[in-house]
Amino acid sequence: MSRALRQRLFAAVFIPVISVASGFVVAGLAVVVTGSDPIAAFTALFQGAFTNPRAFPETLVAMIPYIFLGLAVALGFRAGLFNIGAEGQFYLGAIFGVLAGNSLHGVPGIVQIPLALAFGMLGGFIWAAVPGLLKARFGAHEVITTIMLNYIAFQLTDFLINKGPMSDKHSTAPRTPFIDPGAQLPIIISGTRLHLGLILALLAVPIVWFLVQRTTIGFRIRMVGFSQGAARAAGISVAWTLVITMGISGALAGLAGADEILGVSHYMPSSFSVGYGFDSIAVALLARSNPWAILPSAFLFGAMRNGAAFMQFQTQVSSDLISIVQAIVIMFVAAPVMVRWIFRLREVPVGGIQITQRETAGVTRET
Amino acid sequence: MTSIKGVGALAALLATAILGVACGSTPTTSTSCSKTFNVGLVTDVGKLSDKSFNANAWQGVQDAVNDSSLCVKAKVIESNQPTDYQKNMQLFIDQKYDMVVTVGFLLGDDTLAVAKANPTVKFAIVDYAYDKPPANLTGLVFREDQAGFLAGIVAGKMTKSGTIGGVYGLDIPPVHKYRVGYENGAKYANAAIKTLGVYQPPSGAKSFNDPDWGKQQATAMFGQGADIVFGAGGNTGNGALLAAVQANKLCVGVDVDQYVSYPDADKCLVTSAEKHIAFSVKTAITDMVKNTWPSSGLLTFDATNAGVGISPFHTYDSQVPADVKAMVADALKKLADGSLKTGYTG
Repeated sequence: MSRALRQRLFAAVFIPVISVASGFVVAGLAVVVTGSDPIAAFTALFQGAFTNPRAFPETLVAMIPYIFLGLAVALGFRAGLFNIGAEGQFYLGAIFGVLAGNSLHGVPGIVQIPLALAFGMLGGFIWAAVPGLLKARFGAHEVITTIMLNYIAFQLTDFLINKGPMSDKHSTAPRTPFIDPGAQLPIIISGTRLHLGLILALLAVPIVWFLVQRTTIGFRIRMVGFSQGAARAAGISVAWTLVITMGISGALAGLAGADEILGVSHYMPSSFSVGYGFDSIAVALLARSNPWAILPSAFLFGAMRNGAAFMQFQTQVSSDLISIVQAIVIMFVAAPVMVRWIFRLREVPVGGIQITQRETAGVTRET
Repeated sequence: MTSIKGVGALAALLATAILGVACGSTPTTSTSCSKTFNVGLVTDVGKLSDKSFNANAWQGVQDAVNDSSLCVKAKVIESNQPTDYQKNMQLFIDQKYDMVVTVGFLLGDDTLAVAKANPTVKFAIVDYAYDKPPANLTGLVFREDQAGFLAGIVAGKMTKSGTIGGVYGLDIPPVHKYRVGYENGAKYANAAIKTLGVYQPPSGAKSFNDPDWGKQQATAMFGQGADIVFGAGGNTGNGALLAAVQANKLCVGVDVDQYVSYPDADKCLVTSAEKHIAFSVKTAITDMVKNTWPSSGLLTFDATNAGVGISPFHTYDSQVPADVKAMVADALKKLADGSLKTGYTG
């Protein structure tokens, strides 16, 4: 086995597997500390994610937004952008999706559904293109601007939903009215909540892969991610590439939001999502920004999110435990050097710590 | 190679954790129960640690479990996000549960939908009512005006300045009931009393959630001579309580015993106008077990069934005179037998 291949395998497989395993071990310790049985808890987690009635379809339902959002964050990583704003773009996509989903009465679903999804993408696009512009034009760091725009997105949607123009006047609960029945995404397995969004998400993976690897835009994105100086020297407009990358990233996040409205909830409640967008940073990191690897990564996160309820049901261990697993996973994935050190693995790559940030985002594997 | 060993050990641990053994079920402690009733609680996104509606509802479920005559077993699932509500209810139904309890208006639509789809399972929802719900679903509602009335008696007796204040959430029925009850209770205790009060105007996301506004309003009332304030409007009301702490005035909490749920206000908190949520949940469970399920789709908790009241005085216990305590107890009795009205009409 060549050294390069081993390194590649190590980065793509060992680090993620070890990170996830370590996450479970640490979370298991937390279960022990709280006086419960970790084996029983994780067994229930497994049952709740896969073997119970409806469990597997529900895992797929939970996986759908993770695929879109994971792709969104991963795309940003490829251009060297940390889009921490996926959660806010997710909200914007949802509210735009609701808007198109309940304002076009009488339009057939075949027209309204794509329109509503496109609207959701538009919402996410706008919300992400702004930090892209700010970065390109003024050098404002996207981590800061996207985080701040998250807060604005939460408050804006909260206002619209609570007593604002989009609230359902007939409901005491803070939520929008239901979308038109025709705008609902069709269920693909009857008796479950598994909807057409799964197919869309599965289609998004090769599309994003193609975009990144086989198009001019994708080449520019990768080039900018590898070295802005080199990209500029090669005649690539770095500013334009940053804006368009953020925009596409946001559009994917917005699509996730609209899809969640059209496919699952059919209306937008306040506190619509608790952390899908933030979890997706971990999804993308675990997949090392490879669009194909987003699939297993999103599947894992979907399974954990879905199985957590049955884990709590069976063992009464708080479903928040899953957050610990996720946090540990992120820490390990973000620090491959730490993993090597803890597990006494050799082959620290040339450049050591300096290149880990790029390596984390999967950028250095580009040729 | 030591590296492989480390990885192998971890992998083995992980495999055990995931594959495990299929014996995760909890031990049963069946005594003389011919049938055990399984009850599931689904919280809203506030989760059990809210020290408020969710925590009290879970307490009610546990009270039912601890009552050996009911033969109830129970589990809780905390909801992480709104799309979990239906899923979590469905999880209990898939596990053949007899009854599902949900908490609060956020679950109103989803509880109705799941109840309609599962007519053989009983559903109860805390602090929510439906117009003609299916037979297997009941709302648990409270006479806020009576709880407010009792708290008003305390406020009317404890004020030294003769002026009391109230900072309320939006002018919607439960809040309006609290206000009417509180002000009339104060007048009942002290005919010469002057009452100040303000509803929060509709404020978008800040409705029920604007402590700064609540604090300003309460502070203004203190400026007008009030020396005790009733905070009845979520976080907006909590702001009023904080103002009382800072101004060294007294305050009255709402819904649950806020001495427990909102320790920041302990210094000013004389009592809270309380909905006995735990009691209401236990009552609904008892009705399910004893086959006395309400046909009206509504269980109202008021003075007649000890469904509302005021919280313990805690640190103020020694400062509340015995005659005030007696007056509260007497009013509760009279509200129950109908000889005393709160003044709230429909």
